[in-house]
Amino acid sequence: MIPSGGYPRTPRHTGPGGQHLDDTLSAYLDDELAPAARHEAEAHLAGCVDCRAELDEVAAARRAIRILPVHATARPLVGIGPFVGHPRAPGAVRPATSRRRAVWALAAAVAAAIAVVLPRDPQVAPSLPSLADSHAARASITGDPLTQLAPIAVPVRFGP
Amino acid sequence: MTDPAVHRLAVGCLAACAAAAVLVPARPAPALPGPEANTTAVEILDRAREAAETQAFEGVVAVMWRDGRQQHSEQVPVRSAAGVLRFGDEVVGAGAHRMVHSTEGWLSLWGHDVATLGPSPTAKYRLAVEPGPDVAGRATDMVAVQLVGADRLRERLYVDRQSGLLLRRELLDSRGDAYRSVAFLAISNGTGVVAAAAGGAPRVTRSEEPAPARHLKAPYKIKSRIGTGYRLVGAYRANGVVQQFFSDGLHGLSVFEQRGHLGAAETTLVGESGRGREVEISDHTMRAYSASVGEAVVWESDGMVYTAVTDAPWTDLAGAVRDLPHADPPGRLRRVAQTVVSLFRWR
Repeated sequence: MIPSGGYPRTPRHTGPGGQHLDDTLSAYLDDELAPAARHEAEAHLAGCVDCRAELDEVAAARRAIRILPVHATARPLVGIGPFVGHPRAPGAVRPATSRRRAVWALAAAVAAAIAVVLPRDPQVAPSLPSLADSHAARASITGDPLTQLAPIAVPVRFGP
Repeated sequence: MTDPAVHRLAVGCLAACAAAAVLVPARPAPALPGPEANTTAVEILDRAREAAETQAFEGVVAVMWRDGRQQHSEQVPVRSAAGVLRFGDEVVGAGAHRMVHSTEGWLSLWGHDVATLGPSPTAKYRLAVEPGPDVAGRATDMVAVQLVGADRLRERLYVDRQSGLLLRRELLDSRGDAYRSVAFLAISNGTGVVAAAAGGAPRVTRSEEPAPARHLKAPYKIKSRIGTGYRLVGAYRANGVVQQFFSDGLHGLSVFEQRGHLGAAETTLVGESGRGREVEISDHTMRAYSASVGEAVVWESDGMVYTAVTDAPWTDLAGAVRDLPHADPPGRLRRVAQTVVSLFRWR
């Protein structure tokens, strides 16, 4: 049985070598250590009961986390939450920050929805020949009809 | 008392002068400086417009234009009788009606008279009349056109002394060479033949005649003056396109506005063979085209697509475009923001 205060620990020093492994254990479990550091950690584990016990503990905790079912958070995004009226643990996310994030997320979602849902202005590809015809037709009413209309009757209207 | 001999002498001189005036053929008027020349030129051009609508004739017209370094030239048969003016089998003008032939038959582009004729050309141009060369075998008077205050000749118009028809019109570059012209290569007045060949106005199968747009709201922007001497003489709407038509008295300039964003495929803009060229106007890149009908430029600003077309020189078009909206096209994020803001705008 694990005592309520956890395993009694001796004072430790971080880092490989003769010191206890501490944070190096996670890297060891994740196989993130360089070969030399890994050999050093394994040598330490072979001779250190505390570190072996902690290694087993960390590995068991990881396995437990992996097999936990995923649940949706029941905490409301905005409003009275479980943090209200309770002392906050150091490092815990403050509710105001959480609310701000939630509002921004909501705003971003609304903007994205608007961008997708709202009709966009149509793409326009002006037909220059027909607009040129319209111009010439209008210009020939008050201008000289001969020189205004002849250009729109030519077979090729726009050059390469 | 008057001496009878002196009186007889005076009468004789008057009679001789009158006889000389009748017998001696009229000489073409030399170039007239100042307002008189302007008045004469305006009258000549007014008569030419009227002659094109009323006289019977038949001929071939050459249309020439320059597109960058390339020169294009096409010929069009023209015939006119009983007030119906035909250009090949493609274009017909009859009174205030303008029609073009399409795959679906005859399409009506215009169908009503206009009340506003536009400004006098003398506000912008200095006009001089002088004897011109023969055009298509006809003696002409030439109207030389300069901008007021400028030395360079900008345009020449050759008018048939006999019929009053405008036989040739050419725009000149800085070296005095024609870079755009419409000119009769041959013309005859075989009235009977022309009348039989011309027939009446064709039956219209479809209409795209624009309706006058007297009250346009945002985002359309009506300008009363743009460029150098161009005044608004009409605003129209057809098929979701608003056309503002400006005139400087000699040339027309149309600004077409369509709601939307300019499509990416620029080759489809023309619908034919041209891809145009990129131009910079007021630090904005636009696409310009040189066509038989004149110059055109296309751009986008604030959710509107603008197309400006003119039969005037390119410099006139560029000057007019500078007076029109030409903001950078907004990004997608800005468009979303504009849309969101517009939802909360109640005015």
